[in-house]
Amino acid sequence: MSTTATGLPASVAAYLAALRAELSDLAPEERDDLLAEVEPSLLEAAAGGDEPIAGRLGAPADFAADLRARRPARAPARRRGVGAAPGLPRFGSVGGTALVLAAALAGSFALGLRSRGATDGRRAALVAADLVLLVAAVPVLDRATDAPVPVIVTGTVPAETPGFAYQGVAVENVYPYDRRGRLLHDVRLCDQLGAAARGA
Amino acid sequence: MDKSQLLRGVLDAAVLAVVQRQDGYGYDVVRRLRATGLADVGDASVYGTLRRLYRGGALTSYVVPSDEGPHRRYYGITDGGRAQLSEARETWTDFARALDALLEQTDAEVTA
Repeated sequence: MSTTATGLPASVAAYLAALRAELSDLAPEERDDLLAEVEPSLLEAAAGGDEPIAGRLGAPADFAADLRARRPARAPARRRGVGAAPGLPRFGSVGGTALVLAAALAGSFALGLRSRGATDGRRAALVAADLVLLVAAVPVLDRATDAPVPVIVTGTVPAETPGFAYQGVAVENVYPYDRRGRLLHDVRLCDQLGAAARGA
Repeated sequence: MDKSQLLRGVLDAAVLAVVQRQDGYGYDVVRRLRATGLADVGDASVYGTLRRLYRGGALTSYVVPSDEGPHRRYYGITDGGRAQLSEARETWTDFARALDALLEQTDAEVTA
């Protein structure tokens, strides 16, 4: 088995170099620490026969992805509240909710107008019915707040940011990477007209 | 059944359990997990899990010089890690009990 100046088998050194390139976005200290930590696994894989290290441990890009060990995304927590109770009406939009509330309001006015001159008992029953409707409106309004509310922004367009900008924020530097995550050197960025882009 | 998919969900608990028994460095943890029967455990995912648990405060770490090669970073469990392991143990027990009952029931129905 051929070895390098560091005493490592050539296959291990090559795999480590590829891993280093894959992890080039990490802080140098963290990257070196990580590479030192995984070295025993590479040595064992290299000592295991003629099979290449990638055959046992996977491609460096996949190995690096597992090393990063991002926590799998969790399902968003269920929203809790009055409106989230099961079985309550869902009107699907703010417009629908407003329509239902407007209809209920009109009905309430009609009842009120018709009840003028009614007996005390009937008036009390109507007040009680109105109170019930008022309480029932709470979850409906809560539902209404679930729907996205269109926001109209008025004002002036912000002043143009000099140099490179992304979504209005100045970009201080740009690092080009290839599809395998390796940092590229000696590249030239061009704008939409093919002119070389230059920082401010 | 794809064991690697199952492992993904329980690797945190498995790593914490191994380190709780005795502090260990990355490759040592990989070997001890394999020795318990988790032959499909991926080296890189164990290293990644160790670092994530360390960053999350479940593990502590210290460096020990080695004559054979680069220094070794050992990991030990913290109080937070013990609490996390205890919670994982309860979750796993409930889950395993439910699935055991379901699979046994299905088996009984098939043989009936």
